[in-house]
Amino acid sequence: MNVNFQTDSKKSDTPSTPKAVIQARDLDFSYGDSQALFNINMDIHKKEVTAFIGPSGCGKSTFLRCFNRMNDLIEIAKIKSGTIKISDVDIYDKNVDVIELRKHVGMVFQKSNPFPKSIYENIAYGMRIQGIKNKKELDETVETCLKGAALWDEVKDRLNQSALGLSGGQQQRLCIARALAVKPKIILMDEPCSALDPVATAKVEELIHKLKKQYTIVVVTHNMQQAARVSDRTAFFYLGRLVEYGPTEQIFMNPENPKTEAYVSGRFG
Amino acid sequence: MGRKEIQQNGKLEPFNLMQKNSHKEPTHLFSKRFSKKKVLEESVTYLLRTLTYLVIVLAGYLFLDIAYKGSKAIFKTEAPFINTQFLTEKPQTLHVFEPLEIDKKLSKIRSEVLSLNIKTKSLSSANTEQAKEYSTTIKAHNNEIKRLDILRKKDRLTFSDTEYRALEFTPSLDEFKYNTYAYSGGGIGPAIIGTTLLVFGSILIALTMGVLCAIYLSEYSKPGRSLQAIRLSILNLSGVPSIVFGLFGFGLFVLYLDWGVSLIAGWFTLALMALPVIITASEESMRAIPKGFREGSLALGASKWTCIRTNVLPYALPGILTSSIMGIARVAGETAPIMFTAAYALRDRLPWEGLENTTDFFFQGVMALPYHIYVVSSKIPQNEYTQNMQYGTALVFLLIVGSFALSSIILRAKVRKKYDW
Amino acid sequence: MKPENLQPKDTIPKFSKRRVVLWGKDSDSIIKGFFGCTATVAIVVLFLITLFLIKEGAGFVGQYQKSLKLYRLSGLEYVEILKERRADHTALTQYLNGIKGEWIKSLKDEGLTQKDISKTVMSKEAKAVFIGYLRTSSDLRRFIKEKMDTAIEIRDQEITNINLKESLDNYAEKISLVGNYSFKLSPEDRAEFILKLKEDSQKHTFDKEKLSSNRQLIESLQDGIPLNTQSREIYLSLLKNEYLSTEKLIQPIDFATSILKVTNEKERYFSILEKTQSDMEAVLDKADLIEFNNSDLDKRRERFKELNTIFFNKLSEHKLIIENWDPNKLVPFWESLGSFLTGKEWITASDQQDWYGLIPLLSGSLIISCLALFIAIPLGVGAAIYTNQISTSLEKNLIKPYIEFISAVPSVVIGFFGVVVLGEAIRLMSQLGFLSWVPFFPIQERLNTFTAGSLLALMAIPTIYTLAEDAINNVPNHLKEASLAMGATPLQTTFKVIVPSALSGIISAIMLGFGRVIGETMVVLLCAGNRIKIPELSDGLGVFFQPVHTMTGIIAQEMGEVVNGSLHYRALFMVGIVLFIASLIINLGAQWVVKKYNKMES
Repeated sequence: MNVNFQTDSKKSDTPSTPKAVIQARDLDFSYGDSQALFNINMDIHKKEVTAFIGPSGCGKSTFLRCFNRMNDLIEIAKIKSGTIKISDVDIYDKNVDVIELRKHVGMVFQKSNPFPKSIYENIAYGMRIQGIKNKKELDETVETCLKGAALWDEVKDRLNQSALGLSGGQQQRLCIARALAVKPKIILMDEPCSALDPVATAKVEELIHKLKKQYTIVVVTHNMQQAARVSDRTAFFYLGRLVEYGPTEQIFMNPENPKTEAYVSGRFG
Repeated sequence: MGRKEIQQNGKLEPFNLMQKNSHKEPTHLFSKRFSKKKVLEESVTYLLRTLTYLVIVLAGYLFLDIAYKGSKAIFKTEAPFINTQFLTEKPQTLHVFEPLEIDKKLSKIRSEVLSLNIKTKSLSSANTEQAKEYSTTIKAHNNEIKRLDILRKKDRLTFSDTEYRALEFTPSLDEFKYNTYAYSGGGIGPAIIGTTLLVFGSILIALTMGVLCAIYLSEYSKPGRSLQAIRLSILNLSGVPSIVFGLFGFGLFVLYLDWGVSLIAGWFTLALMALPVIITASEESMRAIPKGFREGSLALGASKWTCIRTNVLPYALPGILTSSIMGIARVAGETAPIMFTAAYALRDRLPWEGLENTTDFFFQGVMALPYHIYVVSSKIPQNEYTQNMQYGTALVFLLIVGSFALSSIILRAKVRKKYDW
Repeated sequence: MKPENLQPKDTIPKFSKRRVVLWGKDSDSIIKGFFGCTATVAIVVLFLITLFLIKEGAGFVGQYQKSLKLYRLSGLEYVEILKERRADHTALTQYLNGIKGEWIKSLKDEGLTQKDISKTVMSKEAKAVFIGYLRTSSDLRRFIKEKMDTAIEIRDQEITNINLKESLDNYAEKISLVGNYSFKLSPEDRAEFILKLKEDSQKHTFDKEKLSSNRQLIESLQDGIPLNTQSREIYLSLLKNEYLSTEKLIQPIDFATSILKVTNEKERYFSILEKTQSDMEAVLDKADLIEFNNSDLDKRRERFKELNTIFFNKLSEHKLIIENWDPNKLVPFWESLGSFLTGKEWITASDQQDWYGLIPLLSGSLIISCLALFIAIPLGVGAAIYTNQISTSLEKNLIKPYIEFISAVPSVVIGFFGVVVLGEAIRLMSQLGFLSWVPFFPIQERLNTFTAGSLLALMAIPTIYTLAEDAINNVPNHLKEASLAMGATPLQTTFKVIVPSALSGIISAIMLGFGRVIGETMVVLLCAGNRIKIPELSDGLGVFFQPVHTMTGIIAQEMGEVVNGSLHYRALFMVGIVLFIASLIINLGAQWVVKKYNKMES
């Protein structure tokens, strides 16, 4: 296992620490009659990469989608109890504007999903929907975002071509760049590399590393090495429960829970 | 959220304060804010909703109008509540005798009202008093008209053709004004029977040919350019206007093959029209069956036909049937193809009456509901005596076609749920 | 089944061919052949439609060419040119009458009594103008009528000749048949023979001998006795008599001389024209004497004079056309096709010349379809967007089947609703006082483009709705998620991501809706007013309240009355072919749009 541990990992924070930007408390979540998440408590820290690992169907993606309320799109999905606070605001409060929330919390999906438009328009989309029409401002932001996603050099000559002509890895980085254009504080990534080849994966991972300086990032991944490579903290989910959560080093080298140990050592999952 | 957000917060401070006061809730990062965009959003949503409901209301008005006025013809207030006479009898001329005296009075008052109306119009705007006087007179006249109308309805006599002939002595023309209205008396029995015959005959032909053709296309034929071309042309034929099928049927069956205006010419014309729809739908539901079903059966040593019979047709059948019900609705609803191939405006013999040979059954024209609607709505005037026949026919036809369509829609939804692979 | 039965038996597997059932084929290939046959039959029949349409329509070109040729040879075309001047003069007279009408109206507004008004209008000067102008063309009219009658006579004679020649051929065929000894009387022949004998008896009422022999023969024929040598001779002689008398009736026309009856007297015609012109000028001079005391009317009078000048200027050109008209100019076949496709008139069963021009029907169909689509597109697409993207699932589950159900409503029921409810409602609405500012209100006809168009919209909505909803539904969900996750509002997502992605599907839905509308028959037949005239675009929006006729409507209306194989019959098939081709183009176009867009995406 080639694990490159982050050196600046800190001790586990207490729940009330001011560095916690997302706080989940006693969260129960269900799809219709079947409960998907059981009593989850978790703090996610500012400007860190947090990885969610666990076997398929353990609820890690569901939990991630709670942070920007994407689960609202599924009619039967419902939070039964508990709260999620982002920057100390309960995001399931009825006074919350989901649109504002989603501008604050960006998301990158498992399957790269650029719009069937040009590369330029894909990035500019986020600003256009906010009513920004100034060409110069748009140009600048597109460039910044593409540079931020380490894609500028590859696409700068064909900004007006269809985004669907890019390779899989480029498309995924374009999606990340697109998410950056809305200027979020938090970026959620739902298995961003699962459909990519190793080279493209390495590029995306590199990008995550770079983005950490400015953004709080939450990554759901199947790939334990990836979690070990990119994250500061790791949470292990199993059957809808949060089994263990702590600094990545600790989870991989010295897990407290035997289930975690069994999973990270590849004995099941 | 960036600098724009902050700017906006700064700018909108007074409003935020107001909101604070009104809602008594603290603002935060994600709190709901007022913006022009949201107003626009709301109004577009309402616009779309209005458009949708406009369609529903307009179509609903059509349904209700026909249902309300038509139910007067096919339902009765006393038991058995259904006007069997209307549904079974042959169409007849209606003989109407209106009391002459009341009629004269009515037309006199009506002409007075008319002249008063013209006078009111020609008055200059300054002359309000005169106008008022006129309008009160008109009102009084209108009340009188209503009163007389009730009397007229009480005293008038209406007879269907058979009743009229059976009369021992006709009402005297000194007391009554006599009018006849074609098609307005009697019922629509032959038309219902004719439509039923046309629909079932044509659908039998279309279903047999269509399903067999679809089995060949989806199971036996080899994919290639020619198959593609055949599919494309069948698909395109389903979009050909029905009148073109009617023209074809008239030219080929009625004139060239010399079948005359007959049931059989109508069957084939309608069947040809339904054929593309049924072929396409049947083929689709057969191709929707997973390959695994066939491969599994073939791997067990079944012959191709056994495989189709046991593992393809049973699962495709619900789909085929639901789409063919839609085909029935389409065939039953069409007028243009049968106008000159099978339909008679009036035929006072039922299809099985007075046949010399059994084959004559196929070579006779029939009455049909859609053509009857066309005839009664375009060839006779609209008034209180003809309205019953017009609306009654329309409602019966709408109910027949609607029940086919509705069952198809419901069945399709069920089938989709059940066979979702 | 016992477990040991499941054990495979230790026998050598047989991979031999399946058992032969019939004609050296096994059962499976027979079944395949059976399905193949039915499929072939079905497909062949469907192709037959195309072939039959073309076969019946193709004869039109030749027949119409003959008709046009006769039109030229008989001089009807020449008369038609003469009639143009008459029509222009009539139009001018109508304009003058319009002035008169307005004059009366203005006098009324001034508060004059009926008596005073008629006194003014019927004053000597006014009479000289209004009635004098009408009289200026009487010579012209008489001359044209004369020539027209001559031309029609020539044409009718030629048609009679053609018909007589046909019956001559029939007689000749019959004679050769009867002359053959194997000929046997069919029931129809027998009846014909008896009829001819009776006719013969009437001719020879004084020839007693003949009468009695005829009576005997009739009786024996009525008893069903077959033909013998003697009666055959009688039958033959009767037929031959018939042949000869028919032949006498034919008066061959020499067009080269007969045409002169029409085209002679050009000098007289020109002098009539000149006289008419001088008369008109004299009347126009008098027109200035009338005192309208109204600037509007003065203006119209000036305009009238200008129009007259235009009329005079046209005369020299008219003379030139008449001089150069050539009755022997050939009528090429494309001219007959061209005059069908671009003809501005559809006149049937007229005493002069039948015209089969597509333009009035095509323009009627198009204007109704455009109006219907104009209404149906926003409603259909809007409802599709609403149900798929905005509505609650309960609403969706109710609205979708409801709109699908509308598509099953028979068109004749919708047309019926138009006749009994909508048409009247529109007319009443147009008569409302507060709507009188609309320029074309109140409308005259309750059945018009608008009535038919709005009902057709109701029929197009379900088609557009169902297909557009399908297209929107097929947009991958991840695009919607991506947009929403970026903080776009649901509506922004709908209009900036989902609708553009589904655009090809929506466009093809609209095209298919167009196809449905243009091919619809019953609604237009019942509600469009059925007036064969090109819509007058000069009326502005009022064009949508004129009655029109359509391609589908004309087939439905006239097909029942035509003679099999006649020019009219074939013309209707030509209209059918145009409809057929239009629907194919629309369908293929819709498929092409979807295909092209899908290619672009992948």
